[in-house]
Amino acid sequence: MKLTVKNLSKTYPNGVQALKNVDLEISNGMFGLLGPNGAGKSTLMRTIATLQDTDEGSIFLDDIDVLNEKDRVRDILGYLPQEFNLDPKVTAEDFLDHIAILKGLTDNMNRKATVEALLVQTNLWDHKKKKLGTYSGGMKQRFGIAQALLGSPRLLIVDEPTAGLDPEERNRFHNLLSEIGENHIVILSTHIVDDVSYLCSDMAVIHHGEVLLKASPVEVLETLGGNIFEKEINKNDIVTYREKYNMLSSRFFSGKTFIRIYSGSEPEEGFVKTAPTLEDVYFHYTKNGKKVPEKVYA
Amino acid sequence: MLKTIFRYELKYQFRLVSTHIYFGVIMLFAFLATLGAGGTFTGVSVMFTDASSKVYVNSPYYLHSMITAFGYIGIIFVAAIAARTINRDYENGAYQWFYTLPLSKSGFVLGRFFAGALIIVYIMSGSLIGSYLGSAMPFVDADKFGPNMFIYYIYPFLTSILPYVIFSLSLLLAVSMYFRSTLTLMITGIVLLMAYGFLSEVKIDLDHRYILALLDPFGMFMLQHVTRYWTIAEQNTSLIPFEGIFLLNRLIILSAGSLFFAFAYRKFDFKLQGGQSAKKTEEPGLRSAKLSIPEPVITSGFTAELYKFFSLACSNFKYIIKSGPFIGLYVFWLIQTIANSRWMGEMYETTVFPVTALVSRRLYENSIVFVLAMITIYSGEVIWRERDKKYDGFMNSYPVSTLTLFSAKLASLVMMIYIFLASNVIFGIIVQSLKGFYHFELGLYFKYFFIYAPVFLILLTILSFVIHIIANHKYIGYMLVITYYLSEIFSSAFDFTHPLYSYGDVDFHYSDINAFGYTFKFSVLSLYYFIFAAILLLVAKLFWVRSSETDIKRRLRAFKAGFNRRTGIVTGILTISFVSVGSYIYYNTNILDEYRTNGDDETASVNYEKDYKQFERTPMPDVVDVNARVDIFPEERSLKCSGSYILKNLTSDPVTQIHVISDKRVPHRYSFSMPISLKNSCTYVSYNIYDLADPMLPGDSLTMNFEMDHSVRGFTGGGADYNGTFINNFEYFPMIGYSLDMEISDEFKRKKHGLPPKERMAPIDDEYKRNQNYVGNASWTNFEAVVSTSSDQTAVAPGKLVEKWTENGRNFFRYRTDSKILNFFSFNSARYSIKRDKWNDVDLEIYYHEGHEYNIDHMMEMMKLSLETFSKSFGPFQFPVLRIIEFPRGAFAQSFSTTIPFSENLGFIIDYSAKGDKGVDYLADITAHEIGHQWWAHQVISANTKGATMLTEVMAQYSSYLVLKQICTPAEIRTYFKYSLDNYLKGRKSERKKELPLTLNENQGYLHYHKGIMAMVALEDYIGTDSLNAALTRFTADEKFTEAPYPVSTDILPYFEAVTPDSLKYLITDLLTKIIVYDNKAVSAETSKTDDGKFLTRLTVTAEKFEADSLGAETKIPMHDYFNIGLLDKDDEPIYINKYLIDTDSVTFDIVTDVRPEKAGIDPSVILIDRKREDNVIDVKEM
Repeated sequence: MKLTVKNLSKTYPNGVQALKNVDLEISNGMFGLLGPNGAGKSTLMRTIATLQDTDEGSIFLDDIDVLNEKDRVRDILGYLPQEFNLDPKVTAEDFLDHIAILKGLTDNMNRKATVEALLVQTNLWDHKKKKLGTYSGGMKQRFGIAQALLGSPRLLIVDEPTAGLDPEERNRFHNLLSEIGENHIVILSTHIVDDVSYLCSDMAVIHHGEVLLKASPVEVLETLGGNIFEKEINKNDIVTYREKYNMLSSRFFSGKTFIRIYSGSEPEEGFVKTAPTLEDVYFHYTKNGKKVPEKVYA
Repeated sequence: MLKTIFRYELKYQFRLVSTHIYFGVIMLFAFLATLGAGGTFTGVSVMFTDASSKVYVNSPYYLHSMITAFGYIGIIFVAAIAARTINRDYENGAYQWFYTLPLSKSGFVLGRFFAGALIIVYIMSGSLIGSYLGSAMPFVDADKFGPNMFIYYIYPFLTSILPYVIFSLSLLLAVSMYFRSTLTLMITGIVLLMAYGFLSEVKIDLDHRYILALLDPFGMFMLQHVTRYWTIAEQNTSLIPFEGIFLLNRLIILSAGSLFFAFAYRKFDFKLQGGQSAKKTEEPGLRSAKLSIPEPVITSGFTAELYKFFSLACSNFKYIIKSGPFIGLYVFWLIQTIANSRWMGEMYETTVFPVTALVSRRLYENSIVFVLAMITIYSGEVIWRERDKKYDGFMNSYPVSTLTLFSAKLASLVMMIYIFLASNVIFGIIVQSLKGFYHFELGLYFKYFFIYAPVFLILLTILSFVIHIIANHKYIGYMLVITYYLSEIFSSAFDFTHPLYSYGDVDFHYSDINAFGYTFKFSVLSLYYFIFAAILLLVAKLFWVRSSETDIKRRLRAFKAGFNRRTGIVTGILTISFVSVGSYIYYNTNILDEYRTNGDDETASVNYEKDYKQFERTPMPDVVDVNARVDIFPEERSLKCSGSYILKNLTSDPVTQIHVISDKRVPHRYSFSMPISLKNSCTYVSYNIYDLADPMLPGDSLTMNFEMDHSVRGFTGGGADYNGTFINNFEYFPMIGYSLDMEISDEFKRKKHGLPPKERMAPIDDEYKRNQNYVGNASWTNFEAVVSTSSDQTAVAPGKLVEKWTENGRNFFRYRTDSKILNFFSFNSARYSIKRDKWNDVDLEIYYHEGHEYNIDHMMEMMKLSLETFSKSFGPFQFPVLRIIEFPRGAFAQSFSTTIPFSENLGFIIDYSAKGDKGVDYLADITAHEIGHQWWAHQVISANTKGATMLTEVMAQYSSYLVLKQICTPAEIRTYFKYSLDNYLKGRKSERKKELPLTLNENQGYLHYHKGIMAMVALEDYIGTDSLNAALTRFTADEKFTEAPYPVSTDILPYFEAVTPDSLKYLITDLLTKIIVYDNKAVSAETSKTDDGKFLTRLTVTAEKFEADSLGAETKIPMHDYFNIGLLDKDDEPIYINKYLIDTDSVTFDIVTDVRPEKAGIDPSVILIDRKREDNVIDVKEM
């Protein structure tokens, strides 16, 4: 399967341009959408999930015209929105069963088995009789995952899915996603850089509605190859360095301050050349708002 | 701190446009209402109270009522302000930082509270300003306004609105603190609004009404109670005294308000009100990385969609029935219905058997407000459910068609309606069982609650649902729906009533006799409105938002995209059906029938009066002989009336013209035995003027033949019913001469149309009117009729049945009266069962519906007892037969010569052994009253002048009392007095023109029934039953069957005087020819045991006597009157009673009795008119 996004543009009534000429090609596997809050990730995902229209452009999933054949998309879609709530008075089992019917699982035996399996999978089995209102943030998120996975969707869109999950849960969920990603398209949005670097075979950095970069994480790292330097500095000098260099990030570690910069040439004494991380890529592109040169795609 | 918060809040709220819009809305409404009541709009009269039109629109009473009413309506705005005042920090999330500021709780809460209260006061003040402006407009009718006093406006505002604002705001704050949601506030507002409105329907007996008045937060019932006996003069000039129940009520309300406030204050906390966080459970996360989910079997297509539909509908339905407002309304309904269930067998103040027809209707009436509230709330709620709960994101992404999502929501609302109606059925059966009535008509329950009742509710649901979808803003949606309800109230005032645009207006009636009757119109209109609803749904579906973006541009685009070929075809088909059915309705309403609005009728009446009033006193011949033929076709709902009149010139002038009136819509043919020519035929009423070739000289007669074709006109029947036809000659036969009945009687409407003021009745000395009798423009007449009906029905008319036969498969009956009768006769036809008996030589017959045999034995006994009593008291009965005939629906009985049609509800299903407010056997009361009319109307008929009903209704009431006295206990009779006094006093409060003494009364019910019986009872008590009846016997003997001039009310006074001792003669004048009100009071009563074992009681009473004018303004007058002074036992039975002359204000009596009295007082049974009945008797204390 292949999802082709062409020339997608979208301006909200309040004047915010959420998407600018977005072009993307996504095949089976995990695809990471990386970008700061408000970059347009959710808009893009909602659009693919049939919940929103655009001003310009087209989206095709193989032969399905996503923008105009929403019903066909919904048949194979699993979607986990970034923010959601649940009806507090319904039990998890009842609600999931209801959703299963809505997803077309009309065979009672099969539906029951599926719902059970998902509840087990998301470790909600022991709480299936509890009302959703009593669920914690993490449990709600897991329920959200369960509903998205219902019906084995061939296109799975998960918007910031690991928010609210503890590290171990996050890890397990990621493994689950990559397993699904073997045969299906999984689009994952996040602002946590590590998520992408571990999981995704393909990724894009999106900022101010524009795709700044799309490539595999490995390729991406190459774009910065050899230009990242790190130095331990005096905390008070941070402003000076920021003015002087293209500073990507600073971090504090056991009372010391480290900064990382991007520099085409050798910076001043004390900087150590280091291997670029995806985080550097992220900061580099989102800070400078630069589009990656074409050749990177090659 | 408080000041800062207060000022900030005030400024903040004053800057909001909505604050001023609310103010403006109230002001505009008050302005329009004042103009409406002030007679500005033609044909529209908006009255806020039961106030008489003699009460000034700017009188203290009216203003108090109106301003209070605006307070009531304004609860919605209070809810809006309450939401804004406290909840907004939660709604917009600002609390997270706001509540962390260094604010003191008291300063914050009080500051906000006072600011909110002040804003509400500002909004409510719109009613003052609006009504003041309205009253100052130059174009209002000056007669409707008195002096414009500032205090009349500000006083109700200070005494009623201010406490109410504190109360309602506190209550809503408490609710808001408890639930933390704006929606709950809006719902509380709506529920309060509806529940309170509904309280007026709750029945409370006379002695307990003050409880409602005490606890009434809005003050409308309180006001009603406090002023229940206020005269018009008082209403126009007196502020409601801030004392007694009024004061107490306000104190209770303020205390309740403080409690609510205290609760809200305690609940308020500068902390997150998560509430549920403690219950959260946490568990290790996702179990395994391995995906082990069975391969789902996914189906699609119609069956799958059906599955989805049911699952969604059930999910929404469960959501509704588990949510607070539904449960609240349901519980409230249940409590309300249980509280009212003892009235399930209650109708028109009488206890009746809980037959399914009645219980269904009562339950439905009880439920309607609740189900409307449910529809209003949930049509919005189900639409907003996912969006409010914030799971629309994934809900909308599922493979469910929009149509399914949409229709499942609607289906859940329909399920809600049905489950609620089903609860009604269950409740009904329980009530019936508890009352020991086991005749459950399940088929009727089913039809009533599952077929007929839901139509209107579902139509309304669809409309409300569609409004919410189109509005796409929750609160605007709610406002629009409520606006729709309000506009419904006004639409009839503006003659906006044609069925083509009266969406949802489908009426159905059930009667045991006639079942649902003619239901075709119901079906056609339902079909028409449902097609319209389908079109609405189609449009709404296209506007349905299944996206996170809902701006109008996107929705229009979605609309265009959704409008495909298929939709186009469906729209086309629906539109064509809509137009076709609409045309059919139009054809039936406007072409086959004549469509007339109230305005049209009013115009016709005006023109009629302007053009023909000149003939009111033109000499006309009288009907002296009727030979009628009535063919009733029940299954076609049509009938034909034909026959002949002998018209005789009974005047002393030659008659040159004959004027004949009938219903314009009914084709007629007239012919005369003398050469005659049609001179004028009116276009808007059938008023035909015939010129006689040769005048009829006094004493001359002629024969007039007529044929009236009362066929079905479109949906309108011709007068016959499937089972249970009941017609009379006034509506179905041609009438001779100008009729006053068709004139407009409302004073202000007359003025608007430039008509001169109209007296309700002619003066008592009007020579012309004295030659007409009260019942018709005709003399005593002979009567013979042939009535035919279908083969399974029996037809009845006045007189003896002289012949009966079958012809062409139809039943024929010939009736004839030997004695002369009034020109007023009825025809009935139904599938009757007949109960027969005899009293002396008189045949007694009761025609009843099979299944309604509950009371016929008792009815028969009462017929006998009445005939027995009246023939002894007044003189012989004039007919050889007397019948009671049951007819469907209605709530009255009417006495024609020999025949008394009796509504099924009124007599046949009464449980006469249970006594209601009236205290007496109601069945006996009505039966005796109507039989009394056989003397007091059908023997002695009064002239058509003021006081006419003194000789008919007053005497029929007295007749009934003579019977009741024989079968009721003294306690029951005392309750009856209490009931009558209460009704008289309430009646005079709402008098539309002027109160008159009984001898001059103008057919005023509260006078001739309620004051009438009080006066006769007093007369009887003072001069004795035998003397009074002797006078009546003499009067009947002298006046029965008198030809013109007919007797007037004052003609009976000499007969009374003849049997009254001189010392009591003042009574005859006081009771009958004046308006006298007493204020009698027992001041103290003490008793002590005497040496010989008896009891000496010292009783002090005061008495004052007033004469009232026609508006109730009282003047104290000197007194030289006799009063009953009584000592009573604990059951109010007299131990001692005697009449004493009292001519000073205060008198003390020493009375010795064998038994210790428990109570003592003056006029203890209260047979004299007294506005404070309850202080006549007090408890006797030890000396």
